[in-house]
Amino acid sequence: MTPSELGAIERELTSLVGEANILSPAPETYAIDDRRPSVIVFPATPEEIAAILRLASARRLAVVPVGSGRRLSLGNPPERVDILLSTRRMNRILEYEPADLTASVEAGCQLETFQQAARPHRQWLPFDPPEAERATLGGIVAANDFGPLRQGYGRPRDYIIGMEVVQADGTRIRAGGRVVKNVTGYDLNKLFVGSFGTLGIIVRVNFKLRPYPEAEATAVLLSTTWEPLESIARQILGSELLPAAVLLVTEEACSVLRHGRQKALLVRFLETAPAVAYQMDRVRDLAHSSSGEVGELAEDMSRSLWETIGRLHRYLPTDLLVRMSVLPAQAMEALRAGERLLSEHLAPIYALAQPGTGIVHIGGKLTVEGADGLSRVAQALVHLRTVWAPHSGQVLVEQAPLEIKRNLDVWGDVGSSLPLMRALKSTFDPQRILSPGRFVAGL
Amino acid sequence: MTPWIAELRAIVGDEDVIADPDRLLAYECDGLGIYKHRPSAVVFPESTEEVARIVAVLGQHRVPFLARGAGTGLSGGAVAVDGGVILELARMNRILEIDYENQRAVVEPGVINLMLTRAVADAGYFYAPDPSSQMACTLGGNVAENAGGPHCLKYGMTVHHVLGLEVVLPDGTIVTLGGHGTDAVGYDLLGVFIGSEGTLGIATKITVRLTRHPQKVKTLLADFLTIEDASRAVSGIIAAGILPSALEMMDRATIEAVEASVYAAGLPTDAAAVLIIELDGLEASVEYETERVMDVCRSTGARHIVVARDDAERARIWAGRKGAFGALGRISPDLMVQDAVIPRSKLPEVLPEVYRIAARYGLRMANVFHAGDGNLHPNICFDGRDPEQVQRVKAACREIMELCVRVGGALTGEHGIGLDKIAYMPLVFTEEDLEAMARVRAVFDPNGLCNPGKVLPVRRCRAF
Repeated sequence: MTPSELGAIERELTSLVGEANILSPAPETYAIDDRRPSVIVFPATPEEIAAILRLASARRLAVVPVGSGRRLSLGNPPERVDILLSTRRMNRILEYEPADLTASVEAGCQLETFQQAARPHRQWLPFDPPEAERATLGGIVAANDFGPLRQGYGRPRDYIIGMEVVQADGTRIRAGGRVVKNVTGYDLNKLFVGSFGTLGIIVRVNFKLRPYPEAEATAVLLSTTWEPLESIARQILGSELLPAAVLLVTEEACSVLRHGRQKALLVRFLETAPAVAYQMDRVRDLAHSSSGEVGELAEDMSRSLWETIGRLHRYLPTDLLVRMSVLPAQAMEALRAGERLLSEHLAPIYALAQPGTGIVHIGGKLTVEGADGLSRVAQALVHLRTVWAPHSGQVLVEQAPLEIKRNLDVWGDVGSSLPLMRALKSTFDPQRILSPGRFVAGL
Repeated sequence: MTPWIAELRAIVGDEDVIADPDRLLAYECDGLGIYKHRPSAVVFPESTEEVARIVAVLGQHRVPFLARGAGTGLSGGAVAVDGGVILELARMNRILEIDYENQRAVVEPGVINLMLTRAVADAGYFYAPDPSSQMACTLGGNVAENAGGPHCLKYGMTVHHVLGLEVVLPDGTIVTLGGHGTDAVGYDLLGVFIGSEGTLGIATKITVRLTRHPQKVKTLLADFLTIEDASRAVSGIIAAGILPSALEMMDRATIEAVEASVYAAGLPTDAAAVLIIELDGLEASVEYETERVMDVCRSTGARHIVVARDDAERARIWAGRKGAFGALGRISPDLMVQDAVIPRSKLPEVLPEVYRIAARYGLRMANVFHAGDGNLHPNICFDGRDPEQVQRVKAACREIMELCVRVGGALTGEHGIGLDKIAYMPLVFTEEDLEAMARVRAVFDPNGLCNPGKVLPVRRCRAF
């Protein structure tokens, strides 16, 4: 973009949102991989977003929507980033009907803001994505971003009942509605959830809520070997117990939790008080039969442990973070395989596995550098994919240096439905102005 | 005879293509009898490859087609409006894999919903979505409609229990949507496909999640002297932060019909409404929440509250509930099983208005529905042979739809749009919204051959 083109765009954007709501040039910290946006714009309404997208369509400018920016490191390197569109000013709760257990929020509304408003009514959105404390609901939805609570509550996808989206050409559409059960027409909510801003810009989301559990506790079991912990996890998951989260973590991760430097099994219960007590008793019994001690954390202590889990990649040096999705019964096998393969390149290295959902994270500090070293890491990741592909396993590279991203598709293989996805992208964003290049297969 | 009939016979054999007009009569409507269209042929594939080949042949000849399971749908969705070909999937009824370790199963689309639950019951599992027709309806049909049922209040709809699909696209290509137990990469096409009412392709293999039986189940029957009291009890339970596995309401007309039928469950025929409230989960929670539910019911004017003592009593209550449509069906030649959703807090305000609408049109109405999630089923008894009655039914239905939309509701919670509700779509969606849906459809089915004339207003089924 030439300085005069940039000047013209700045002027037009200024006329749309006002001078105070534009940042140009964008600070270095807003770069996505090696692309620094020309302008950051902070619209306040869906109308302003529509106007910005009409401008972007007319001039073929690439627009990347952003909430808190937690997930800007996730994605293939963008083809272009002209405008970074922040939802920061669109942060209101628009409707909240405690009696219906439903709510409607602007995309930039923070999860925490909403939880605080819902707390007096003993309701919540059961989401715990990484860095939940600063996540926006629009961002969580655009990334279908989840944490260990997926075990007991599913993913954000399962709580979205309606949406308003501004399409690439500036037209606004609504999907779903405001009721908790609805099959009126196609469920276009599903098209946009997890689409990472590549099909439209989510401006409003309607959710169904859950009652906030009466009591909470977490059991912490430690061991020097996986065997007893795996066995107890399997017994819990095969029993009548209803854990909200089950997580196995390596020594490195455990050390951050201040429970010593051992392998650990963390089991979180969110239930009525009698049911939490019952389940903690059961875990204690299971642990005693394999002669282990159980650390018990109640209420605030439990919550703060899981908040720490959500920030592990901030507390531990993390250049590379990989998320595997495998069949639940293979979670620990995947953890070991991933650790084995990446330990050559990462030190320290840490790993977490959800044995009930098959989600495994492996992260750490890269010990190699230079183009050659990093391309060997990329090869190791591709190898990991190849090994797990026959078991339907997926390997998503959540965070990596640009040199690694250039050597692979961070998302992995889409499979036979890629032509449909390409066709959807080209019909919803024919000019490729919405986050071009960042999504699967460079969509 | 049309040339493509011979081509279909070459794929599945002579016996498995019906083209005789008399034999096609059985396929002219679905569970909603008022829309009758005879297909030009019915074909019975037995494998994914056969489905793909059939669809490819029909595509070459530009013949429209649709898949059909048990034909129990209630929106006119499995009807060949333009004399297309029906692919009857009843023979693709094998359970291919049960994997308890990963709590999933892989089935063909013709497997009957309840058969899956029965197959895994001894191991301690069930398949959660349980539409009232679960003894007959197929899982392929459930996927097409995103079927619900009483227990989806807690457990969610079909879309929450299907992990992956093998789909034959309208051009005969075979694709996988979702994972088969692991996360898929890219757009959530699985979520888009489920509930698309057979218009985006034909699911030929379904990977579902199996759910473990809860430790404890408790079923309560509470009866009320007014519908308003029963509605307030529903709101009170939800507001108390309790999530029952089912929260169903049956009104007096329904109770009377059930008690006069083979489904008689011992319901009080002098009550204005009964609530069936089921709580499940850990015994410690269920006992505790039962007390709280009983408190709410008492404080909102429940006359009696009965707790089922054993599985037999529980089964009897549910037989009454699930048999309600059958019982009502015997009152008159035809039954319109309506479906709409309202915000649940609006029940006390909307229900009386629904009755007033029926009264104004001189129609006999019975309500039996999923009160916990605000999913109404106003059932209208009528005689489909009388065109004037049919007109009154349609007019009353439109008013009910308008009422529900006015209070922030939706046109359908689980039965789908099909043919029946296309005309109401503009009540909830703008031109632009419908246009976006049409674009999705055109991506999957550019030639408009897959169950045409359903879901979206016809005039927007244009090529892109």
